[in-house]
Amino acid sequence: MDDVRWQRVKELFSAALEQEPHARSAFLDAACGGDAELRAELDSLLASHDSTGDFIETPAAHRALGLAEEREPQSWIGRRVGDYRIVEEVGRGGMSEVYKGVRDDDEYHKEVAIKVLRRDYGTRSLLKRFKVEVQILATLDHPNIARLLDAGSTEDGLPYLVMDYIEGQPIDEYCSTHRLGLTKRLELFRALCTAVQYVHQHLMVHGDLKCSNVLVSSQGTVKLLDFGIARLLNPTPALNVADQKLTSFVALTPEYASPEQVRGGAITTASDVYSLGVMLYRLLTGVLPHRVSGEFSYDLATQILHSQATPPSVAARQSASADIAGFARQLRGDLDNIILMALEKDPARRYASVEALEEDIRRHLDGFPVRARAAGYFYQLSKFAGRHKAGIAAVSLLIVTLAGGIIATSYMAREAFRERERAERHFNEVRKLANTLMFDFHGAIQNLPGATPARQMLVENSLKYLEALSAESGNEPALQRELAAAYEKVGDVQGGFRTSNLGDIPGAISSYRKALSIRESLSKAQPEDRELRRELLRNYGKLSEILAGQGDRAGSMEATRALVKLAQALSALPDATLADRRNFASALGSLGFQLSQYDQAGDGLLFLRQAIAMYEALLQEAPEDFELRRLLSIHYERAGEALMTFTSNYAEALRMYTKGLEISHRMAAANPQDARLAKQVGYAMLGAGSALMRLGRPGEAAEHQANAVTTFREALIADPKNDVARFDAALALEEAGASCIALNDLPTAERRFTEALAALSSSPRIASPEPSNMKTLLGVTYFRLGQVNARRAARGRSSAALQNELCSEARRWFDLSAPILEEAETFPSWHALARGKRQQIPKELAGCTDLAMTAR
Amino acid sequence: MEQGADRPVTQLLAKWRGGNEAALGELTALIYQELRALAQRHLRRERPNHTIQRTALVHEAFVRLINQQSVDWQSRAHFFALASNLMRRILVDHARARLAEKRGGGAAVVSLDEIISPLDAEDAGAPGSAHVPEPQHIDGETDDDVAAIDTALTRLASLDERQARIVEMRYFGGLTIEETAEVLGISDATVKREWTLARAWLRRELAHGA
Repeated sequence: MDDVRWQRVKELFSAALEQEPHARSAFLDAACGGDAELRAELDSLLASHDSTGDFIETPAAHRALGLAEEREPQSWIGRRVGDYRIVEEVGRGGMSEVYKGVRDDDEYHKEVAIKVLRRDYGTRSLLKRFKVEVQILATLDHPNIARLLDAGSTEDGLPYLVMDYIEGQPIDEYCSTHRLGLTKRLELFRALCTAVQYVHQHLMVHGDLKCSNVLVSSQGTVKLLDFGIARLLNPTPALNVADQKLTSFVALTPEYASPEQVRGGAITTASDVYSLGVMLYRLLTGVLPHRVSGEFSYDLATQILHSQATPPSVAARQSASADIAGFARQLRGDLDNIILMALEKDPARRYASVEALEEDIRRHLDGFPVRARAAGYFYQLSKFAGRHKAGIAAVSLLIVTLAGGIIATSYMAREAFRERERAERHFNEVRKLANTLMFDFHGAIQNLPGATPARQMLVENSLKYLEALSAESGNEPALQRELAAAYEKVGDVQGGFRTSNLGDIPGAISSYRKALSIRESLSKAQPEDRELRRELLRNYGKLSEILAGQGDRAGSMEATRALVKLAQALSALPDATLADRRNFASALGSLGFQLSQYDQAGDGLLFLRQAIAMYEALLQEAPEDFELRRLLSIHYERAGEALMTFTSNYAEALRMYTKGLEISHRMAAANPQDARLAKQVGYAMLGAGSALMRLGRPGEAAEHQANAVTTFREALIADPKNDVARFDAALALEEAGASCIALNDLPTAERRFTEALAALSSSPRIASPEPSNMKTLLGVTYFRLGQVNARRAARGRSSAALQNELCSEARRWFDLSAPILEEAETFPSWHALARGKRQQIPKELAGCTDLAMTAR
Repeated sequence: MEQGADRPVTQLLAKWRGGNEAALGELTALIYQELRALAQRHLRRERPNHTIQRTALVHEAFVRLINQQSVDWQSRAHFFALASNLMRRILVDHARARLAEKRGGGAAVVSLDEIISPLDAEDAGAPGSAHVPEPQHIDGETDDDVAAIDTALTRLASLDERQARIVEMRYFGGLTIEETAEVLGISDATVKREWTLARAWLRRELAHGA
C-alpha cells in the first residue's frame, strides 16, 4: 500500500469511528465511493477494531515479568473495555461489578456505567445467549429506562454491558429522603410502570424488579436499570419455553420474587406485576410485604407462597415514620385493593398487564372507581358460587320456570280464544315469508352483480316483519332466535367482512349488536343450548372483526375477550366437537392477532403461540382436517408477521414463516385451484424473504421472493382486472428486486422493478388523486430504480461520461419518487417506510456527488 | 548504579543530542544493562510488591539512571524512546527463549483463529452444557504473542513508522498515552488515534496468522 493510500485509510478509519456504529456503513459507502478495495480494507480494520478488546493494552512487561499478579486487585481500573476506559468502581452485585467509565475518543468524555459479569458467570453458553439478548436490549429506547449503549466481551471472555450512567438514588430512598407525599410517590411509580410496560411490549420480562434497580435522578426522573443481567440469566420469558429449565438459575432478590419465581417456574409479565406490587407496597408503607431477616430462607419462601400480606394501610399505620403512618387512612380501600391484587399468589388473578395496574392507579388518582375492587367482588361472587353450586342451580331453574310461566300467561291473555287459531296461522305465514325472503331469496341473489340495492330492500323488509312479529309474540324464544339470525344477516349485508356489502359499517355494527343482545338473553335462559352458544360465538366473532377493522380497539377487544371466554366454555364441555375445540384455538388466535396489531406484541405472540400449540394438538387427532391445517399455517405466519413488525427477533420470525410455509405450501400444491391458499403462500414467502433480508441472507431471501413473484404473477395473468392481484404482484416484484440490489445483481433488480412499474401503471388507483397503497408502492418502485442507477454509477466501472449519465438517470427516478413518498409520509401506516426511503436518497446519490467533484 | 550529578547516562544523552553518534552505543549498553537487571529481579521476585505497582520498568530505569534535576525534556524523551526499544528486545528475547524451552525450539506461532475456533465449535454443539472451560487468554500477554507482535510490529513500521513507535512505547515501554505524546512531541489525541488504528491493524495481522 502506498503512503497516500495509507493516509486515506487512516483518515477514514478515524472518521468512521466517530460515527455512531449504525451509521458507519452508510458513511463508508459515501466516503469510499466505488473504491471496493479501500472499502474492504476499512471494513476489515474496523471489524478488527471491534474485537480488539484490551489487546496489548497491558504493557508486555507486566505479564512477562510476573507483574500482572500484583495488579490484580485493582485490575479493572484504567483498563479499556470496548471504546471505554474504566475510571472507578461504582458497586458490586451478586454476579457483576459496576464501574464508571468514559469514552476515550470522545471529546466531552461522556460517563457511562459498565457492568462486567463476574468470572464465574462468564461461561460460554451464557456468552452466546448474551449476544442475542443484547441485540434486543439495544432496541429499547424509553425515557425511563437506562439506555444500553454497547456490549461485548472483554479479552478474557467476560461479558460486559455499557449503559447510561445515572446519578441518582434508589426509588425508596429517594421517596423517604425527599419526604414525598402519597400522590408524588404514586406518580413516580406510574412512570416506572410505563417503563416496565414498554419492556413487556418488546417481548421482554425484567424478572428482577426491585427498589435498588430503579434510580431517581436529581431532576426526579425515574430510570429503570439492569435488565441486561436479569434478562441474561433469565432467558425464559414469553418466547422461550424450551429454555425453562434455566429459570432455576435466577439470582433473584427473594423479597421481591413472585411465588412462581420462588417455585422456579416460568417468569412472565405477571411476575413483573407482582414485583411492582412489592415495590409499591414498600414505597407506601416503608416495609416489604414479606420479610425475614438474613438470607433467602425456607421461611421467606413459605411466606411468599402461602401467607397473605398485611393490608398496606395496616402496615403503614404501624410504621415508625410519621410520614408513612400519615398515609394509612388514604391507603385504606382502593390502594389496599390495588396492591393486594398485584400481589395475588395466582398470576391469573393479578392485573393482566402492567398497563392495567398503572391505569388503576391513575383511576384512583383521578377519583374514578378502580378495577381492583370490581375484580374483588367478582372473585368473591365466584367463590360463593363455587361453595353453593347446587343451591344456585335450583334458584336459576326456578327463575326460568317462573319467567316461562309469566310469558305464557300474558300471551294467552292477550288473545281471545276464538281468534287464536287464525292469528297463529297468520303469524306463522308471515314468519315463514320473512325467513324465506331473508335466507333463501337473499342467498340466491347475493352474488349477482348489481343486486346490492335489492338485497338491502329485501333484508330491510324481512326485518320489519320479524320485528313486528316479535313485538306481537312477546318473548317467544324460537322467534327471538330467528330475529337474531335476521339481524346478523342484515349486518352481513350492511358491512359484513366476508361478503360484498353495502359499506354501511355503523349500520352493520348496530345490527350485530342487536343480534348479540337477543342471543345473550336467550342463552342466559337456555344455557344448555349449545347451538345457541355457537351462534353467539359466531356473532361475537363478526362483531370483533368489524370493530377491529374500524380501529375500535376497546370495542373489538371486549368482543374478542367474550369470544375467547365463550369458545373456551364450549370446548371444555365433555363432548365438545373438534370444531368447538378448533374454535377455541381460533378465538385465542384472534385475540393474539389483535393484541399484536395493537402494539401488545408480547401478549399477542403469547396467544398466537397458544393457538398454534392447540392446532398442533388437534391435528394429532385429525391429521387430514383441511381447515385445521390452513388455520395452523395462517397462525404461524401471523406470529411471524408480529415478530417482524414489533420485535427485531428476525430469526424467530423466519422460523415461524418457515413452519407456516411447510404446511400451506403443501396444501396449495394439492389444491392448485384454491386462490386463497396461493395468496397465503405468496405472502408467507414474502414474509420469510423480509426476515432473511433482515438477517443478512439476501441470497435465500431472493429465492423465496422469486417464488412469490411467480405465484402472484400467475394470479394477475388469470385475473388481469383484479386490482388486488395487481398490487400483490407488484409488491412481490419490488421486494424481489430489493434483494437483488443487496446481492449486487443490478440487471435482475432492474428487470423486476420495470415489470413492477408496468403492472402498477395500469391500476385505476394510480390515476386517481386519492392516496393508496398502490401509489406508495409506485413511489417505492421509482426509488428502487433510482437506487439501481446510483449503485451502477458508484461502482465506477464505466467511463466518466457514462457514469454521469447513470447519475442523471438515478436523479430522474428519485425526482419521480420523492413527491409520492412525501405524501405517503403523512399517513401513519406508511410513514416509517416512506420517510426511510426518502431520507436515503441523498446517501444513494453521495457517489454521484463525489464523482461530480472529481470531474471538476 | 552510583547516585549523583555525574551519572553517565545523563551526560551521554546530552552528548548524543549534541551530535556525538558514538555516545549512542554506550548509552544503549548502559540502559540495556539496567533494564535487564531490573527485569531479572522482577522475575526472581526479589522486589517488594508495592514499589512496582503500575510503574513501567523504563520509569524505574529512568529514576535510577538519570539525574532528575539536570535533564531537559528532549533528553527525557530520547531516553524513553530508547528504553522502550530496548525493553522490546529484552521482552522478545525472553519470550523466544521461553518458547524454545517449551517446544524444543522452532515451532510456528499459533494464530489466534486456531486458538479460538475449536472453542466455538464445541460451543455450537452444546449450547447448554454445564461444563464449559474457562476461556483462554487471547491477548497480548502470552509468550507466543509477544514474539508474534514483535514480528507484526516490524511489518507495521514499514507501513507507518510513527505508529510502530507508538506501539513500542505503549506496549513494550509501558508508557501512558500522555507520556508517549510528550516523547514524540505530538498531541494526546493524535497518539490515541494512531494507537487505536495500530491495535486494530496488529490484531488483524495476528488473527490472520500471517
